[in-house]
Amino acid sequence: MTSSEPIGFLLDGQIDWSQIEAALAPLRLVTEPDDGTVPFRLLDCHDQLLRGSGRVLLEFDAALALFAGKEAPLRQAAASDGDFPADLPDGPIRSLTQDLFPLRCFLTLARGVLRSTTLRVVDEETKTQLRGEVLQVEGEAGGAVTLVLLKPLRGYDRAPAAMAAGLREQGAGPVDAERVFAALAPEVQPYVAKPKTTFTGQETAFDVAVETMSNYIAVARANEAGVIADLDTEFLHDYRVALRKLRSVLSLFKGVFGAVQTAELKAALSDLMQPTGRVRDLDVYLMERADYDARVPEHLRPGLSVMFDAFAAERADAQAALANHLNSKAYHTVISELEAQFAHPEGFIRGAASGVSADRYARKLIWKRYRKICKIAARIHDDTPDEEVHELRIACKKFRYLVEFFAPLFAGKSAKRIIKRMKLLQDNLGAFNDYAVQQQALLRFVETHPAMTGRRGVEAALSIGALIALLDQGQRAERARVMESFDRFNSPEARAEIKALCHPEEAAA
Amino acid sequence: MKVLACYSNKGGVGKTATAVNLAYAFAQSGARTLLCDLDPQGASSFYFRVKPSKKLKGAQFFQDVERFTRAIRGSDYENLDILPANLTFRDFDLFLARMKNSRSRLKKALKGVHSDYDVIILDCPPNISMLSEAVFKAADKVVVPVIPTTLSERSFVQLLDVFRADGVKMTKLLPFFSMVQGRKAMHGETITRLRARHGKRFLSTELPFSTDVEKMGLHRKPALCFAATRPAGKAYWALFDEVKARL
Repeated sequence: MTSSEPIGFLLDGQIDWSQIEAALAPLRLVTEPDDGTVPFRLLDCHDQLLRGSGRVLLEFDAALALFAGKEAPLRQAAASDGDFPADLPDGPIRSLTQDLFPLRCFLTLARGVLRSTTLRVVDEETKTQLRGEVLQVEGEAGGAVTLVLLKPLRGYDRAPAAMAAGLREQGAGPVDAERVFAALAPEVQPYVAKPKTTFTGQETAFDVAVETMSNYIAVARANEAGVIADLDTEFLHDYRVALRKLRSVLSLFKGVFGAVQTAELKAALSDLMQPTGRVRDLDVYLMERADYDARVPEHLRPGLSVMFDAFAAERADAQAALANHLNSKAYHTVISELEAQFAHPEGFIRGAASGVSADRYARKLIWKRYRKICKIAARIHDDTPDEEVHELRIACKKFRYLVEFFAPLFAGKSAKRIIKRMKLLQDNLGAFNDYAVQQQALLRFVETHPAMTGRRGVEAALSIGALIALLDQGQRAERARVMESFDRFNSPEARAEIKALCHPEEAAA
Repeated sequence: MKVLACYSNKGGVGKTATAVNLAYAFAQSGARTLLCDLDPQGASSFYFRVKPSKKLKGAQFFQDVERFTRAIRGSDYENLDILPANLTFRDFDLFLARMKNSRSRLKKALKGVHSDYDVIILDCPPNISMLSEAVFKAADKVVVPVIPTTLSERSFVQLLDVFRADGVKMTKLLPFFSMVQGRKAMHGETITRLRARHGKRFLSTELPFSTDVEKMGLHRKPALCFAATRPAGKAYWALFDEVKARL
């Protein structure tokens, strides 16, 4: 309204009311503490996207409150059942979290108790000049914070200003997610799905490979518990992406490890990847269910549910097997050994390129990969077989991983811009591939699955057939766009930028 | 946004109490409400413990929408803000009279806060002046408390004449009987006579004479706050329902 003072404040520990009273004089402070405490939960998804964006989400009294900075918190009712943003009743926190992480579930990152106190600041005629709410939050771990939320009344600026001054004297500042986490969830480390390698400029290619791989082993491990508990699909997705990145470091950083060492590591990683594939495939199909249903005419939908029911049943088994695998002693041995190896990299057998400066190595590799993409793309025209388009997709993916691995090495935002430019092309190629893979999977299902018998089988075959036809159309539409997407990615400016990145000496000259 | 004026060309008829309780009732019903205390005695502001703003200078008041909105104060009740009476309001009639296009200026000033409020209630000073004529123009409805006595009846007839002369739509007028004492025969007779003469123009709610209304000054709260279930409180709720239905 008229006041420009902040609404939300955060204090470490408890509030000292006498100091506030002194700051407010001659206005008077009236506080009414709630009778008891209520339990609270600090919520975020596994990626900690709320924390990462400076937000703090608390659940208490069957309601949610999302705090950020100096703003008034967003509030809404909590979910009566379910852990996903979509399970929340309509409200501002549902919309926000649905946008931020539609596929992720909420996790409880801290618990404890909270006491709420309403406050009023009144003048000598007992006219209220400011309202507010104080939440004293005590975590189970022993840390405590106090959140103060002011509700200024129109036309009364002095009271909020005096209150803000009193709060600041006690060290209050805007609500800061890191301060809240430090007090309530000190053991919860921020999760980073794409860890950045630190560069000083002195590293060798070997150093970078080791650090990158060791980072991604940590990412994979951070997702194990979520995969085992089957909390949401993204734990497995991130786990697999981490393993895939580990593999691509091995294949991209040629000559950094010795040949035998490389082959051993590759084999170990393939063994880790293998048991995860089926659950992920089924996750993807099941997530596509609404979309598939929408694509076929209504009378064909019951036929599709034969397939989806079969997929769901199969997923339950595959998930159980995957959880067993991740819980197994054998898995723990393999992953712990891998971890230990990267913690003590001196034990690795190195390749010829291991001692090359990371900087030179990176620029050379990125250039080589870029040339390869251009070469494949040059061969592609309207009649090129699909295999070559897939080849382009894989080459693009490798190129992007490389740029991502080395991005912190390059000054400015050119690496980020290159990655951004690839997005359209990669989305296009990715969709093209997904359509192809899905058609094959559906065909295989029709041909081999026991559910495809009898009248229901015929019904299902009809529906799946219709879906395959539609997927084929989709695939062809994506295929028709590939050259245009590539040209957009490979614009003269992009070429110049990649060249400048890989050959800075020429660009300077 | 609707503008509701509480007006009487006669003093002491329960006009301010009506404005205060209607404003409170609208706010309680969920409507964002602004009560403008245009009466220089500042009684509505007093009831809500709101002090007038010293910074305002009358000459610029209605020219400067920002000043107008900056003078607004939040009440102790949800959804209810007050524009407190100000010393400069004493010269308000004069000020308006000096200004050409006074009606459109008031209208403009009210529009300045349109986005903020669902209902604006004007507690008007008890005389027929440029201000009140401007208010009649700006208001969607004009609530007029009428004590059922011969003297009040005469004032009411005068008011009708003003409306006619100004070309203000008669349907804007919402008179109701105020401070009614059931034991007084004259009250009953006057009510019967006026209802017969003016048909459905009078609202059906009759506000009883009540010490609860007088106690508002003691509590410095709307009667609806502390006497909602007593006869006066019930009557104010009924009045609110009727006014809201006509607005």
